[in-house]
Amino acid sequence: MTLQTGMKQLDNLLRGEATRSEVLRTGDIAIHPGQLFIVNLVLGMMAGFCLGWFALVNKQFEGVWQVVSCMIKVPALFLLTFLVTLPSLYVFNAIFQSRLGFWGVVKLLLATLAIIHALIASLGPIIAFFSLTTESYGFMVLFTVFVFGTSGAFGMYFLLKTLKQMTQLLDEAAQPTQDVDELEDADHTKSIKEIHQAVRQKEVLDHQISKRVRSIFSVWLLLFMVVGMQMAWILRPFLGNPSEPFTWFRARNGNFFQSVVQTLQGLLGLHL
Amino acid sequence: MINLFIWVDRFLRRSWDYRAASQFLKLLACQTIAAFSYGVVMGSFGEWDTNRLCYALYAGVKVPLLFWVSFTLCLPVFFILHAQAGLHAEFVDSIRAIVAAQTALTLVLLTLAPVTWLWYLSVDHYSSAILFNGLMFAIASFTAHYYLMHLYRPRIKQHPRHRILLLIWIGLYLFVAIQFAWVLRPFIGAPDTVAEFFRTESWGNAYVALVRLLFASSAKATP
Repeated sequence: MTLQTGMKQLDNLLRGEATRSEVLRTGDIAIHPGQLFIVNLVLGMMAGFCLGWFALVNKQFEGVWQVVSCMIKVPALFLLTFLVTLPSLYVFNAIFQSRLGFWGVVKLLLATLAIIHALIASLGPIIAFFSLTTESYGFMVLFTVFVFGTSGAFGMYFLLKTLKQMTQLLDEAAQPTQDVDELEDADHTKSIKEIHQAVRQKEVLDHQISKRVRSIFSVWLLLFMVVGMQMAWILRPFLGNPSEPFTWFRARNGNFFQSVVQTLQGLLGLHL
Repeated sequence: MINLFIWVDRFLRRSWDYRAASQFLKLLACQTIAAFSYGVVMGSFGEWDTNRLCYALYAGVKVPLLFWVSFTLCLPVFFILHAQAGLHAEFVDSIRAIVAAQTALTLVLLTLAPVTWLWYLSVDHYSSAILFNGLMFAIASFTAHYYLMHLYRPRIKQHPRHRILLLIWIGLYLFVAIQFAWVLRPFIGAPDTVAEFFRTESWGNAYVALVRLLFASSAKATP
């Protein structure tokens, strides 16, 4: 794979070419999973490189290790999240009949990760700029959380939108044949009024099902976010606290929310 | 392996007839393996040593046991109710639908196992581990309920009495399962305790304990 084909994949995805109606109608996404996987790795490493700058500025030589560690950890964060959440997404998809096969789910999740990675990598130069100009560790932590959080939210939006679109298109494709069948039946047995009633009932039922499917997927999205945050918490430190020596991993204590709230309090000078 | 995967996929998408007798044993095997695997992950909280290994294995045995004993205890009443409702010919199909839904429940649990494992890796509070497992069981139960309703919908259309029977089943099953889960404690096992299959003090009634707990907290609240 050349760099060009990989970039083409990403470009198609970002422009919505890979998820246009004609493609989704077939129950597929027009991407190459292998190529997109490598694109994910490269983008993650780019984002990690920018994230490591804070340590590079503050710790000089030790900071180089932090850059290396970040370049491994950022792609690892997303790919491990991918591995942990893939089985449950697949099972939810199958049970709630979104008609997406296993490879479809893999492609969808890879595409979501690529969008998240692309956003973080594109914000990378801004993180690097702030690393050069800011001394406050607290600010950098919150800024990074904000960047990752916003990018994650965009990715989730893409995932939900594509799933919804796909379900609608596939339903539309399935609709005409059913109506014809019903009409043919009707010639023999039912009156027009009865058909209308039956169609209406089916519409109400479909609406109820899609509503339920959406609420179940919001539960899954919540799960995805929790997994992402916990994974990030396990893989700490990303930025590297200037007052502590370089470590690959930190001891297991506290949790993500507690830490964010404490950092915010510290930054605002509030000590509750 | 690929055949197994295809079978699971067809099962989840319900593109098969749950009334086929040939599937029944496969479903039983599948749900036992899935429940055992989740149990092992559930019991693997904290530092790994032989004590923890015992806890993991105990939990692996307890989770399928929980499902199976609750299911078996509710069967006789369910049969009588079917007969009373004039639906005794449909009893076997009802059981097959319920076993299928229970299999779906264990499969969802199995796919949530990596999430639980990750939670254990990053959190070291015993109580948060218990709460998280409760959440995973709740998600799996709701999904299984959706699955069961999908199998039951055409049957309810045919005989509306199935709806009442199903509601009674769910209520009864939950009532028994909660008590049995209480007796089977600990599922996870607090760190720094010696692994034992039953807790000596765990024999008791979950509902009485709950009422006492509520009573104690309300007594504290009003001095």
